[in-house]
Amino acid sequence: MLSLNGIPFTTGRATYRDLHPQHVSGKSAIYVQVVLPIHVGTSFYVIVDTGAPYCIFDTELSEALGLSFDDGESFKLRTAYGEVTGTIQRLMIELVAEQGDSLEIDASVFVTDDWTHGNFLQPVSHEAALVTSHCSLSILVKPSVCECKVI
Amino acid sequence: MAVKFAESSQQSFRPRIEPSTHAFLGHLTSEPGPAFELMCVKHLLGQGRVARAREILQRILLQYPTDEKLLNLYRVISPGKVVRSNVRYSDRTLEMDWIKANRSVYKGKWVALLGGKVIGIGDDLKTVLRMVQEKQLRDIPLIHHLD
Repeated sequence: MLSLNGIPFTTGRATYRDLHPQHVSGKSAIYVQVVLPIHVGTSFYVIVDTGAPYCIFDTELSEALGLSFDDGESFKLRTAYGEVTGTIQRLMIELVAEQGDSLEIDASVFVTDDWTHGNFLQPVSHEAALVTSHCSLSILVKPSVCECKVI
Repeated sequence: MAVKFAESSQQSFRPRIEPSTHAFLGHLTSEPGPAFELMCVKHLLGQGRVARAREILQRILLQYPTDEKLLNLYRVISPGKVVRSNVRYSDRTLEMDWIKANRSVYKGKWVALLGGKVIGIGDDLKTVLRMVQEKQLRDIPLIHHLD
């Protein structure tokens, strides 16, 4: 894990993949493993999208998670794939670590009945941030208390 | 005649609410009630402007503190808690190797893997989840859809 002046700087570390093995297209992105609260314990690879306002999952996965697109106030969200209508709901997502601690994130998820463009994680909150280096994703909790120098 | 003229003049000075006014979200008034303001918040959420939507919603909630729709929306867009958990997982190297070697064979299928071992393969996610549940595993499998 990363340290700053000999003091641990991050709280966990996980390997990320820049190319998802299931996609032949070769589209590059940062894929991380998360555990989702389905009735049986299961993990999935999702794309880290720090520019997204919410997490969003394929409709089939949302249904398995018990998320219903008509539960809440619906609105149209502008995405790179066009406008989609849905609602926001809360979901506990575990961002898994191989070293240190994993993170349980109480995330806002946009739920729609028509999403087939992949699973996206919006991981950054005011309480946590992610640092990537050398195919490794480091997790910072409470980054505001840390001083970070980019060299 | 003169009276009619005066009424007509008054009408011409009456402020008009144009439909486009709704787009100016920084100039909200409380006159139209929470339904109007909720619409404005949803407009912001659709643009991904969550922090701004949260600010406005907080302000509206001061006026309508018991409105269920507003309260629910504020709950789902409020900043989420992040909690550390002392659990570690595998880096899934064996699972990734299996996917690379077999993705063309099982194209279109959902698969559950644990290490290099197949826990279940099916046409839909629900089927695979049922297979995983039946196995009653101690460890958490990785689930993939093979495009």
